[in-house]
Parts: sequence; C-alpha cells; structure tokens
Amino acid sequence: MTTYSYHDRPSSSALSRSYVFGPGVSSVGHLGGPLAQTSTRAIWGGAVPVGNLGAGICQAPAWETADSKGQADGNPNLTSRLVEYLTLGDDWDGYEGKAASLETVMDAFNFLQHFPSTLPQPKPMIAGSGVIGLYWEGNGCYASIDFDGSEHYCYIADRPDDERGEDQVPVSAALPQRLIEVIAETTDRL
Amino acid sequence: MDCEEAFKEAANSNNRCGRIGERKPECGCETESVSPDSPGPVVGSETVVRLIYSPLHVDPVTGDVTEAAFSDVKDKGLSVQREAHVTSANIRAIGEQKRAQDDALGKKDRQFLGTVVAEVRTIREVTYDSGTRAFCVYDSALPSLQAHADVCQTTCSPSAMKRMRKRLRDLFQRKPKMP
Repeated sequence: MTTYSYHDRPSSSALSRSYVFGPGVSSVGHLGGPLAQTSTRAIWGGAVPVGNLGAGICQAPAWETADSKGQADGNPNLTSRLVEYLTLGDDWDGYEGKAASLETVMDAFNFLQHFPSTLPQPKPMIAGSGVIGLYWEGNGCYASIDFDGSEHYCYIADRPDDERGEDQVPVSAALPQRLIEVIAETTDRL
Repeated sequence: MDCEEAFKEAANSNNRCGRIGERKPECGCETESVSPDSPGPVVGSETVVRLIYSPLHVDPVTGDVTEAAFSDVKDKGLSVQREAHVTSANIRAIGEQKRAQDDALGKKDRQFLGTVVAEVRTIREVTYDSGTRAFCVYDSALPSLQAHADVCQTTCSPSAMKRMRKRLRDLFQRKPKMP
C-alpha cells in the first residue's frame, strides 16, 4: 500500500488532504488509469468520494473546521485545477498534449504544503508534456516554477532588471529567499 | 545528412527539437527547406500564427496565454502557421475543423479560442546570456498544411530555457483573437 498524507497547517487549508492508495497498486505511476475515471469533484470538491475511484481512495480532510473553511474556500480553483491536470485526455491541447503524472501533481502539492499563506497565491498552468507550472506575475516581476515529477523543481524569479533562477530545488526544501521576494513584489496587497 | 533527412529522422522522437539541434546545431537548417512541401525557408519578416485550442492555456482571469502554452518549443516543436502562406479564412477553417473533429470524438474539453501571432525576426533575435540563439524557426510544411512551421528551442540550463519561453510568450500577442 502506498500512502500519501497531507497534513497541512490550517492556514494552507485547501491543501490538507489524505490519499490512501489500496492494495493491488504496484506503483504510483499506474494510478493514472483509476484516477482518470475519478472526477475532480470526487477528490477535492467534497468530503465524500464519488464515482469510480478504482485503487485510489480519498479521505475527507480531518482538520476542516468552521474557522479554516474560509481559507480553504480561498483557493479551491488552484487545488481542483491541479487535480484536473491528472485527468486530462490524450491530446488535450490539440497538439498531442499529455496529462500530468501523479508524481508531478504530488510534487506541486508538496510544494504548496510549505508555501506561506501570507504570500500571494500562485496561478497554475500545464505544458503539453504534462509539466505543471505555478506562476505569479505583476509589477513587472515574474516568478514561475516547473514541476516534472522528479521531486525537484526549476524556477525563475525575475525583476525587470535582475533575472535569477535555479535548475533543481528539492520540493521539500525551504522556499528560496529570492523566490519569496519576487513573489511578494508581484502584488501591492502585502 | 541534409536538413530534410535530419527532420525525417527526428520525426518520431519525443525530443524532436533536441535531436535536430544535435544533427544541425546553431539553427543550421533555417536557410534551407526541411520539407519537400514547403514554399521556402521562413524569412525574418514573416509572422507566424499559433492556434490556441485549450482553455487551460489561458489565464482565466486575465485572458492571457500562459508561458506553458509555448512549452512544446523545447521538445516536439511549437507548431505554427506562416501567415504569408495561409489566409485568415484558412486558419479559421483549420481551427474549426479541429474543434468539430474533437466534438465528434467526445473531446469536450477543447475549443478553438483563436490565434496569437509573432514576427519571426523577433523570435530569432532572442538569445541566452551567452549570446547563443534561443529559438530556431523551420519551414516544416506538411502535405496538407504547406504553411506549417516549427519553432524549436536550443538547449541550455532548465531555468534559462524556461526564462526564454516566457520571453517567447511575451513576443506573441497576449490574448488569443479570432482570425
């Protein structure tokens, strides 16, 4: 049995979920099939799984309280969009695009689990290769991260006159200071 | 090996652009035709058109096309149409035909959202910090689409390549428009 647990602090509430994948699943890479038959709503939209979950079982978030619910609702589009990326059909973009792998989606969630709730929330994007991106843009600044399922990410954090990035940052590592700074600069609201 | 052969050989590769770059580095095939169906090599004054089919390639708030919408450029090649060799009506027909085919196949997650365009010269002018060209534009015509071309990214570090794809996004119109 392969178990993924996401016990996030309530402030990053939308990310706090537990997945348990049952017997008969030899590797996570095989989960695309059963998950592909599971609606996004079944995984994220409600506490009770619906539809054909196959080998994958989704557990309701245990922490969700009246207080944290509001924050969970603050970013439902991001989480549901990331899960949706798993279930994209072949050629989803008209150019033979592939769905994201489970590993790639997990990397994105793992990253978001550590992402400070005080920073602006990212927007998601997906490449035809199934690479998932998160990005922030504003005030002439652009920060963007790519996840490819390798448990590492590549990022760029650019100001108009100063461009920087890294090629391989562990998903579980602390957020690079440069990334934090540029993300914060994309908005005036902080 | 000439360029036409190099493109044929790379046709089935998952990393077509990388393969072509190995065989013909420094955009070495831009000055000759890479397809027997081509009307001729792509010149800098031309504009190229990218058809956008997926709502996932557009920011739902701003309506802008995302950087990821141009990611094909790093491996299989970014498919574009050469505006000088195709009419707006043709492009619209290509988009609508594809949408109709998808509908028939039950692919309801796709639409023809329109096109974004860029001038070839500006794409070819993009360079990495080292001065190396970041993108090559080839006349990869197809029997049924003679105006077809490919934009391929040259290899560099992942973060540098990513930054150049963002720059490529900025060279194209930000919002898709119906031709």
